[in-house]
Amino acid sequence: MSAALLEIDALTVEFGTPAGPLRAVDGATLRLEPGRALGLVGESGSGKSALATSILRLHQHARLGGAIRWKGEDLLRSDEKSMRKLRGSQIAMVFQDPMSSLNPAHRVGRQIAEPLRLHKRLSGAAVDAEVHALMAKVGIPDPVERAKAYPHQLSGGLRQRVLIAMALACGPELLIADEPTTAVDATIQAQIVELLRRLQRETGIAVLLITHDLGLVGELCDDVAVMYAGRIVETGPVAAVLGAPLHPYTAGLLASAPALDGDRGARLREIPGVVPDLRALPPGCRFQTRCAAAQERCRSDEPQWTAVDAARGHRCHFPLDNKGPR
Amino acid sequence: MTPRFKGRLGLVILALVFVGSVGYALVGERLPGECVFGTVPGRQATVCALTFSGLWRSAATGLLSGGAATLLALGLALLARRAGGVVEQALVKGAEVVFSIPDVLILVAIAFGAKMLRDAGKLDLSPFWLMTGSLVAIGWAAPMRMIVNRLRSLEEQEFVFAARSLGATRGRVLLVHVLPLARPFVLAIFLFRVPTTILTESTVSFLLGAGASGGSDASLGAFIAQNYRTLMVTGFRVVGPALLLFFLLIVGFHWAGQAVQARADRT
Repeated sequence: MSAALLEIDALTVEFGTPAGPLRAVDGATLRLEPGRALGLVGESGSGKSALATSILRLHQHARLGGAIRWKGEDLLRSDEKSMRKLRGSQIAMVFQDPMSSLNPAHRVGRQIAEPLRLHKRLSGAAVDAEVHALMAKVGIPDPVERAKAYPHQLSGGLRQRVLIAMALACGPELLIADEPTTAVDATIQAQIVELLRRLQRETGIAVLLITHDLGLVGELCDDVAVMYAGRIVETGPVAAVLGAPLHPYTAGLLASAPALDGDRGARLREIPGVVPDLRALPPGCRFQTRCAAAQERCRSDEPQWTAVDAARGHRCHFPLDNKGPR
Repeated sequence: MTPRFKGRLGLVILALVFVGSVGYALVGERLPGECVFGTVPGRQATVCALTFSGLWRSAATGLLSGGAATLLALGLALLARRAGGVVEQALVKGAEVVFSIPDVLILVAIAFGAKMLRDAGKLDLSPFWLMTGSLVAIGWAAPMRMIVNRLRSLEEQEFVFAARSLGATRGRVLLVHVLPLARPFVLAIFLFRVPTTILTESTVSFLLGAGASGGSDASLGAFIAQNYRTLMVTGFRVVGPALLLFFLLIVGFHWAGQAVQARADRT
């Protein structure tokens, strides 16, 4: 096992709300090595995005606990100035909705130039040349003209490519992609996935992919972590986790994904119920209210993390028998 | 009427008032025959000359005070959001305190203080600039609170989050990313401030006789205050044109402000 680029250790992320504190992430532990891709999956409200944005400490009012070690240095102990130097230059982020993530008041060329001006102190013609090169690199045709466009003048796919160009501008070592294909249609999704795969291959950048799409994780990632109600419930290599899930929640997510070779007209499977309110969690296992295999122990004791081997672990009293429901 | 139509109508009204007053200033005195409204009783000057002069006074007071108050409010709002924490709380609380005191009370207090200083030979400020400064002193508080709230809501946008994720400082986020989108809102506030300021100045002029200036340089409010008694004798001949221009000025700016506000709400 090589040295970790990013190590998240017992991370907690808490937000103050009028109804009291809300712990969006509770004791998350993750590890990402250079050049590898880690998928973080879970339903909406499971805490994936809160975890991802906490790496860059973007939530000004969030209370963070535990440790986020970047190349061994704990980011939770870094001052704001050090964090600003890190953001965009070493760790960059691509957000879900390209329309709302781009400033409608500025031309896209200027927005791609922003990290170059901030971190590389480039200006004038050097910035323009770099911007056009970045746009070409992410597959934006006619970059000189497109750089003059405003976000609303571009298609969803081009806007997402602009966001990726912004993120890659300073050659970061880690790209956090927060549901990068959710807001674009299916054909564009495939192009974006292919682009991310090519960029990862060419630049060797590590990727933390936040998604609810297990298919996307299967295509892009080496490892996967599954989140539920603020907790990581299973981690491991993609092939192992998707091939033989140990946690019933992972199995449920896999079962609810539509398959091309499935029976036409057959009802899709679903995980009954919804993610519990994080301020009123059920006793015992957080998944027990939705788990078909829940037993008495699940309703009283919260399962602790169980390491199966160096790369794999789960948080379940009664892990599946490695065959899974699929 | 849609806000856009109102805005255009407001601008047309303001343009007509402006062209009319400039036209009168350029050629009015040289036209054959007297002002159709005659002269002001007890004065040598015509109603046209004093009314248009009052219009310029009122418009200048409104534009200068409204503009300065809006700029002061914007500066303080940016400072509050840039500093955050205790500084922001203190600035917003200060604005709330100023906002809670009746405008007339502050204006009377400033006028009283200025008179004392003038009597003591320590202040040499014309009534126009004193009134303009006083209106700025009372006019920044409400806009500042509104601009702070607007900046806060714009800072919640995802592109701000994205800018911060690239390493932008708080100041850069405010100036480069948030301010351009706040501009229509600030312009709308300015356009609303102008008629509010004109109304305040006119009210003070009418009630207290302490307007932007007196005599032949009276603002519209002061002119109406000086001559409203003529209503009983001459009807609307003397104050009617001033009342009409006053109304057009207020409505023109207000409708223009509504149109810009509607545009700002869409961003």
